[in-house]
Amino acid sequence: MIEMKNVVKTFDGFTALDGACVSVPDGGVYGLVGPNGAGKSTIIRHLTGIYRPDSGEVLVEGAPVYENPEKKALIAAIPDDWYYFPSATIADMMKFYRGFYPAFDMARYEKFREVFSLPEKTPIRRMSKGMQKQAAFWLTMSCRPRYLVLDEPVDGLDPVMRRQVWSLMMSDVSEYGTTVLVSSHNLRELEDVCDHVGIMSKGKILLERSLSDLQENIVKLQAVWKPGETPVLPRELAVLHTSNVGRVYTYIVRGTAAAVTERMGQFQPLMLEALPLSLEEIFIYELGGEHYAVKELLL
Amino acid sequence: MSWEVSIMPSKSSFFNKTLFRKNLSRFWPLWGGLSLVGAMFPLYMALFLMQVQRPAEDFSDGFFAEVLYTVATATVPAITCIYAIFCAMAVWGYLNNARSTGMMHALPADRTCLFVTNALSGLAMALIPYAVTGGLMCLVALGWGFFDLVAVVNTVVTVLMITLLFFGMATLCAMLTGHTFALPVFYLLANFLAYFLEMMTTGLACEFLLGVRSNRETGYLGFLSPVVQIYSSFRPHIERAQDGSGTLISCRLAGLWVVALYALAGAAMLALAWFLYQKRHSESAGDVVAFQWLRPVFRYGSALLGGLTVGRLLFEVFWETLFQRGYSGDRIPLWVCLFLGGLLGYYIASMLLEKSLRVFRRSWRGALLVAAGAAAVCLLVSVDVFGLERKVPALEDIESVAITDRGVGSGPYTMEEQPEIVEKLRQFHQSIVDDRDYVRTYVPDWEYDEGKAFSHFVRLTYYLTDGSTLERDYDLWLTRERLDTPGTYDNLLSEFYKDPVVRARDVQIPDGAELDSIDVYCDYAESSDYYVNSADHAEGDNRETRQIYAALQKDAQEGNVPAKDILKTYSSWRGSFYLQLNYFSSPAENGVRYGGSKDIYLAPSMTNTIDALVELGYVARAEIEQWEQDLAEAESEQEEAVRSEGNTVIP
Repeated sequence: MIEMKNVVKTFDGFTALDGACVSVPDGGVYGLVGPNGAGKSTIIRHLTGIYRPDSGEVLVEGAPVYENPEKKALIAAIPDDWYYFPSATIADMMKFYRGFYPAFDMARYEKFREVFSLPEKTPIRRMSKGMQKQAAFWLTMSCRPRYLVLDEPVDGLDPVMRRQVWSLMMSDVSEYGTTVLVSSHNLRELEDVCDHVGIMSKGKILLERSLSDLQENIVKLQAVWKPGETPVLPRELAVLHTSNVGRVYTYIVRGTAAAVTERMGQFQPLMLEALPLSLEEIFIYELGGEHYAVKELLL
Repeated sequence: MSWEVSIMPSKSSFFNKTLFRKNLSRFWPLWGGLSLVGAMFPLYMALFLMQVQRPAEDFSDGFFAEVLYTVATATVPAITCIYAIFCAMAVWGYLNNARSTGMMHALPADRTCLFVTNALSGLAMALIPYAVTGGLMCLVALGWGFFDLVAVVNTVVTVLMITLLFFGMATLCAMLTGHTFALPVFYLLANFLAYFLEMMTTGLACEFLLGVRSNRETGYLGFLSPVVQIYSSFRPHIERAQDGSGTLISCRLAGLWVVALYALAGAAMLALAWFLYQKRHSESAGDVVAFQWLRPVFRYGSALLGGLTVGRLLFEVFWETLFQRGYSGDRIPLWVCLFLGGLLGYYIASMLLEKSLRVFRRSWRGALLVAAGAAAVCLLVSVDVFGLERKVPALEDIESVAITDRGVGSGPYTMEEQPEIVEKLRQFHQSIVDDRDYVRTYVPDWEYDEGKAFSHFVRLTYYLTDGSTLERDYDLWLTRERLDTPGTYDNLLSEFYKDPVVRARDVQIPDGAELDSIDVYCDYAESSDYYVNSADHAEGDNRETRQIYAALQKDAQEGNVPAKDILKTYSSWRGSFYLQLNYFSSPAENGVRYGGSKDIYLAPSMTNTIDALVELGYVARAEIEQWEQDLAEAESEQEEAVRSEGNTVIP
């Protein structure tokens, strides 16, 4: 299990993490989402033992990860800006990783050769961004990590390779119980793979729940009211957002679909329908309260 | 497959061979290139030995030791000093880039393991070229049969110690910065900052402190500049037969203990670097300084450097050359210049730290501190805090003293043999110190002082009983009025030259020196050249040299050597008829004899010397008579001028 408890990190007076708490259950796929500058990459650098927290704890299997080679050997990460030695080939980097990660699996490395079809003797710097990303996956997955930490992992990959990579990861999760923490802006894809989600803003985790809990606790209602009888909804209904097209009103309301529908029904709309929210919508409306709504600007 | 069987726990380790191998393979052009260059030396040596016609027996083991020691002392410190920073930049380069730092620090290895492995890689890279060069040298020596194991061991130890020092220093610098270009700058500063600061501050102090020399009062912080210190105290001590054959008797390394001390310092710097690496934040990659506490040090240190360099330059260019009058410096203009230079350094440092040009807002506090610092430096250098200006050694502290006046040396006079002369020079020095306000402010008025005031550059060198040396330089104006006033430095210098011991001493070569030859310079020698060397004249025999010198000493014993007239310039002094004694000094600590020379201006009273020169055919008697006649006329003209106008004529 990966845990971050009240982690604070400042850079030259700028607070990047402000009491962040993360809890990633074993065998889970945890999606870390948040706006740009929210602190996602800072969290990932803490989890991989690169950064030392100013305060708070970063624990892997109950032990601090910073300066702990035993725990770091269980974690493999693909940062957004994966580093390779300037003249290194995939084979060179494989030898390098093999020398550090005790669980490095050569058989797996050989198997992945067919999957990725990358030139092993070509300097990585000469490869395209997508190929470099594939190389990073090839090497990282060959380390057989118990914890896989990914920052924008499929950014730059073509759709087929994206699917291939997610598929490989999911098979590791199901077969070996690998725990994955993934940070991405592609919420559509995260929705397909994550079972837990943490939403970040301004260095804090605003919300951390299983995806199903999240989706069950926020609902989109579409209602049609009689002309001139649009009701003023009560405060306890926790409406996050309201919009309308003609007489069709759309409400984003916190609560279960059944409870919210029942409460709304008391206002006798002409039509009332509860719809599930996508992760992207949840992200937008949850952060709406953090002044993150899309600005309607006329340029 | 379950995790329990697939993963072995990663044990804590101090070394990772993968990283070690990777470092060596990544940077092979660095150590490979230098190895190739180094291999040229044994190759040259082998080719040289193959061409030498002498039998191999001519090359003793000492020859090999001499070669090794000469290389170890002359080239190893400089090459290692430069090469070590490249090795450090190679192995610690990852700390200067956020991506590479992230990758390295995410690896399952702790900082100690990374530090030890990288440090050993760097040291290995630094030593491989020496191993290649030394190994090939040994093969050549073995091939020619003059291998010397002790010399090899000594050289290996020397190389190891010097490498440890410079790589330790470079590693410490690498830990203090997160910027690729800042690392060599920091390293350069670490090597020469103390020397430079001492030189600049004493140089600045010399603007104010009368007599204090800029480059001789230093040395208190010299040990902080290892290259300078090593080159000044670490050298081969070669002893050769004095029978003219030059046969090598022994060869050893002098000052190895200095290198050993620096090696310890290098080890301490590595330990400190390791400690700092533990504390260093990964996010400092790309920053000019890697620690918060170092930022003010960098900022105000840059201000100090800016003040002492740019500020000093402004002072010299704009104040000294345009406005300053008299001897002493001026505090207010100096403060202004130091402040401006300091401010420049301060803002440049701020821009580098903030990685922005917008550093002026709310910087008034820093500017105030720079102003205060400039005032403090001004005060420190202008007020003689340590009493350097007033310092005249007590008689009991002096072992010997020498004076150089207008480039002509006299002495050294020892307390053991000439205590009264030492006291005379001490009193002369004391009178300058007492009269320092006059020395500072007196500037001749040429309308009135033409021919009355004579400039003398005087250097006093004391060798003190504690082994140290004290030197003072003075630009003095000597006048006839003061010459006749007892107690003035003009009078005391004149009295010093009148002393018979001084007059005798002034025609002798230094104690322990070996006379080589005498050059005879004479404008009146119509039949021969203006300049004749006694050794050449006697076809390589030093018989004539010894004869002239003996005659000179006889003149000294008989009191024929006249006192120096300090109100005359040498060009007019007894015409251009003088001897130059060429000698080799007594052997220095390293066994080397240095060449030296001394000019002896002849006077008609030095009859023994003149007779010897005539007898040996350097000058003709008629030429001497002509010279004496011209000299007498010139002297009477001068005396007449002084009597009639009260002036001394400068020809």
